[in-house]
Amino acid sequence: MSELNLVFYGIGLGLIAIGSFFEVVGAIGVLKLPSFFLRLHALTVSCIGGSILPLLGVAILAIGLEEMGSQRLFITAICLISVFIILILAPSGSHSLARAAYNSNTAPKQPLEYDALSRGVNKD
Amino acid sequence: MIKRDVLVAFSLSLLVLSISLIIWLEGYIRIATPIISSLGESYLYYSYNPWYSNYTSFSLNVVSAIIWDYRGFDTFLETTVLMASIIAIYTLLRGFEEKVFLQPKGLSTITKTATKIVIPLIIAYALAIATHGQLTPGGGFQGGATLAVISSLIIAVYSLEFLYYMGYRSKRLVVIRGLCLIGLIIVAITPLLIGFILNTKSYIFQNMSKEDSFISMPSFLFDAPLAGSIFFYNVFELLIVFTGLTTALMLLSLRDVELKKAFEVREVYE
Repeated sequence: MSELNLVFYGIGLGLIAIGSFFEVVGAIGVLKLPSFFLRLHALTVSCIGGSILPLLGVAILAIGLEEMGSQRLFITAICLISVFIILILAPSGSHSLARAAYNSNTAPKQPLEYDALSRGVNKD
Repeated sequence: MIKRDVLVAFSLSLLVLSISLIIWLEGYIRIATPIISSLGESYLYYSYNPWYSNYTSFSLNVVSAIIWDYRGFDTFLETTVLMASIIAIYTLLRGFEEKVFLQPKGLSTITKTATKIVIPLIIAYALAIATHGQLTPGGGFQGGATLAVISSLIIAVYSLEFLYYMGYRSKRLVVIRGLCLIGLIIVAITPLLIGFILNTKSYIFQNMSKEDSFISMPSFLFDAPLAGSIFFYNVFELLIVFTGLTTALMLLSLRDVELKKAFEVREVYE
């Protein structure tokens, strides 16, 4: 294993470790936070930080594994495409969940600091 | 309550740990039994084997070869069972009229744009699954189920009215289904008709040439294995499954107003 590949390997493993940290933080948040909107925030943390960073880590790690031949580029491309799709879909999904819960008044909004929607700042 | 939570978390992490242990062990010792039954061995041996042109089906995917070639009649009957289930839904809902010209009203612009980006990817993937059914894992049914995800997404994000606005009607979909089923039958009896014209022996659902009949469907398109009738069956099956699942989704999904009415009725009952 050459030195450049060792660097790739280290960066990939580091990204996976950071991603697992985000997963744990998101899990604690989902269990501990008081209201639906705050729990949704914790869910987004673990979805973006906990799935996109490890996928990028696997992509970089696969570039460094030279003994896999050209197969490693397939793994890299698959990881990057999954990152793209998750980056589009995860925020829009949590957005539509939050919007539905807000408009239908089914989830309690307390604790609440500032509600821009109720003052007509951004009506959509 | 806390004791139960701890127990659930502990057993879940134990499950993940044991699955990863099995995956790791698989590189060192053999877990699954190495013995295959002689029938399965012969399927694996003959499904793509140009040296035995009387037994092969020129399909690299053994599952497709078994489903559409070695037991084609069985799969055809399964497809008609799916048709019968849709007919059963129709029988249950007879006298039902589709409200067509209502204003489409969906979720917010952000969700609509994200769906718009994803839908072409799903279409391409579903077509690849179905038309490469003879090369890679997959086939007509899997491709059709993947394509039906689109109609469920459109119903959820763009509302049911948008589907009607695009021209989908449950009657038209059932007509397409019937035509595709007839297409399946036509592909199945084509070797029979050719054998009748050429005055030789031939079989229904025949794919490649057999010992006593030389009639064979096209096995290669340029240099890609087409696997004869398996390709056509997969394409027809894709359309059948897509239209069937879309019909069921359209008939069974409720609008917002209708759902509220249903809740009101339930409250009155209780």
